[in-house]
Amino acid sequence: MNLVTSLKIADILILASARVKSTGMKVKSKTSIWEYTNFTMAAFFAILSCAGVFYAVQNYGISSIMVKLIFDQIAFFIPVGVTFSCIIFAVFYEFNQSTFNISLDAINWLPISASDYVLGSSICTLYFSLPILGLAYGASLILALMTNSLMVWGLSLFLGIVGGLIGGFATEILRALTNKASTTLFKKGGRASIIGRFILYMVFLSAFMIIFNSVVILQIAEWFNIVAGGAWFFPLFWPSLAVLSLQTNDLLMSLVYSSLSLLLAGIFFVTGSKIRERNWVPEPVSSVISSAETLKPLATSKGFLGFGRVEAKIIEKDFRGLIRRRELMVYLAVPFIMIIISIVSEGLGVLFDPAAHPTEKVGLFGNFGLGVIYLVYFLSIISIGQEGGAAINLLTAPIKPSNIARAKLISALILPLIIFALMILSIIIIVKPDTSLLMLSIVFGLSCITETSEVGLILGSRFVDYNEVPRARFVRPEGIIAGIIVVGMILLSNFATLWFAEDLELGVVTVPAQALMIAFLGLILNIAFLKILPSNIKHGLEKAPI
Amino acid sequence: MSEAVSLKEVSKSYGEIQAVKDLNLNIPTGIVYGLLGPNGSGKSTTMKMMLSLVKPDSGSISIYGVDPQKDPLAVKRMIGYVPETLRLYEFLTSWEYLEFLCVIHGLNPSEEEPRIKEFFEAFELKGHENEMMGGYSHGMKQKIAIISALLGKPKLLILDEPLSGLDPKSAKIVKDLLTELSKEGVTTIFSTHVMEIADAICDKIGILYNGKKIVEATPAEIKKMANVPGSSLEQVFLEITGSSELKPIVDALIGKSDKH
Repeated sequence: MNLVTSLKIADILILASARVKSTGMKVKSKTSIWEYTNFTMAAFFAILSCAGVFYAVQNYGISSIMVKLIFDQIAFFIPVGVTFSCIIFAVFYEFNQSTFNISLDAINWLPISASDYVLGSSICTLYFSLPILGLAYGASLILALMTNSLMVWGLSLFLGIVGGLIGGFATEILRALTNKASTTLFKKGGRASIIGRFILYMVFLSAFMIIFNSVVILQIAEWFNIVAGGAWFFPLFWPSLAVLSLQTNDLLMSLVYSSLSLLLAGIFFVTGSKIRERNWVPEPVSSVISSAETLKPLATSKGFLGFGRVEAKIIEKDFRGLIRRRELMVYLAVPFIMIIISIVSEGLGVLFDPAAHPTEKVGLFGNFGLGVIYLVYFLSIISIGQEGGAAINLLTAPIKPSNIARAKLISALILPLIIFALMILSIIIIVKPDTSLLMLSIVFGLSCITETSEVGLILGSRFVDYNEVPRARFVRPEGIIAGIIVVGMILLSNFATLWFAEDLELGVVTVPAQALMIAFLGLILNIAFLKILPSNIKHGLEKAPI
Repeated sequence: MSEAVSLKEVSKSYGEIQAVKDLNLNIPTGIVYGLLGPNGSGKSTTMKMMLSLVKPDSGSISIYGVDPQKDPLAVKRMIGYVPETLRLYEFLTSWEYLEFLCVIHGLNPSEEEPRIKEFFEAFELKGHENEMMGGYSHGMKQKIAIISALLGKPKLLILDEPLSGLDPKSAKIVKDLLTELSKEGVTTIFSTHVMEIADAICDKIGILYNGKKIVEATPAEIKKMANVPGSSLEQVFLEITGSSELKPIVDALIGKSDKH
């Protein structure tokens, strides 16, 4: 393994995203440090969280015991949290490579060893998690200074980086395994193989995300009653246990767990390198959808739901991409993962508890709803970027940005709305809520889903990333973070409306009043977002490689 | 003959690089116009400005009387374009892709199917309609790109290196097709580095060098410029673009530079 080569690979993978916004032919003699925006963002978030925590501790009279307790918990959770967040982020953001494009990537024929690539790629994954790390370490640093626990903080920082690399290596294992699946099973085949590939990927990704989810692991640990003394049973907790041991002044165990964490990182690294060595590159899928004699009649491609043929065709194209492109399939796994995690962590008991209030039961579905929000968010934010180089087809076509905006909006909404409808149907069957609560759930859900889709499309166009090699990310990291913040604010504003309406005490019609207020807010936001959507889409498409 | 394309004093630079400088072009309707020039001479930028994909810094462009910057939609309706680098939806079958383009270009539904079938037969792609394009060879993809440019019945074809990767038979089909379309009044602007092709099908040739038009004439007139009987277009091209003295460069590349 050559560390210099690995760092260079990481550098290239990072710059691929950083430079996508430069449309002109600017010539710079050397790379500027400012191109590595995530360092700046991490520093910004670190200072912000540091100041925020300091202000909160000073102004809200938090006792020193409480400060110590909070620090201990954060310092313990950071290493394991970083591992899991790196995996989640990498799978959703760094995993998007079309088999066709990776097969053409120069990295395949350059003299680079599998271990160089795995380390470089994992460092790149860690880089993209830097803003989150900045937030966590900034907040914990001020607490460490207040409680005189800088050594614990330092160990937590070091093991957080080790944890992040473990997450990166784990993702590399998944990446290489999917390469193998693509090559061995689906080189040739028909429609059935496309569906088979789709299902296999969904199962594969869902299983991976669930196995590596902290909530699920903690729940399993709780089921087996091993949380307190037996967390060592789960290797991914070793970095956190090293921190915990140092907190309790058990230096020997801290050293043991730290060494075990490094060993674990080594095992993941070697495994990742070995698997990649054997399955370096997938072969592009070459499927025949149906026999040459059975051509689909063209006259059927009419518009639907009031949309014209142009919009209908773009929607159809996007939908085909969603089930045929392996780099997009990961987004479809989101709601299933969220639902399973939610069931594992909270159980379904409350649904069948006759004493539970209907609001509580509907609330459980709210957790599932978060999966739908994730789905619509990702489908919309990647919608323009996933066109890749082929965006020129839309750019040179005689169609208005408003047509594209409408089509993209429907493409992003269609699946989430189907899942949402199924959720509402389940609520009706299982919870049997009264009409007003049901109405509130529908209005609330629709409002959040539509607003999220519009924000996703706007930010996905503003921060579009058309790069297809070495990574297809569809949207720049700043866009993803900005989107999460804006969508968070939207959800918060909808929840705030719920609480505000409750406080108004509008007599016996509180629930319909809440629904009306949310509908009103939704109407205003939807109109505002729809107004600015076409110009943003036009702006995004103009950045397409021509 | 009325003018299909007119460029007046058009300039475009990317930062410090001047891609096109004070370019004037007047291309009459129904001719095949060859835009030649060495790499980086501004051919692709010129074509992209005609398509409204790149905004000129100065000067004016008119495509059948329409300014691409003022009404890009109207211009796009008139143009069929093959880009230098192929950009297809690899996850679609060629049939699905062309069907998509038929709709986008607003073709009458009843004529879509026969039109696509006609092209599939002409380009010998029959039997590959239902294969995802990700598995196609470069030549097959190039054929699809050419079909997609022709599909919308354009008045103007802008083809950037359209024949690269095509087998001789398909290249011949494209050449014959361009000649036929020219007779029907379709204007074609195409770039190529293969001088024999330009010589064979172009009614007029414009040679760009460092963003400027240095020659504009018929192939026969250009060959006369060499003043040497029997000169090929390639020889003249190398002469006027200053690339004729290639031997010292080749020698230097193979390590004989010290002998010169």
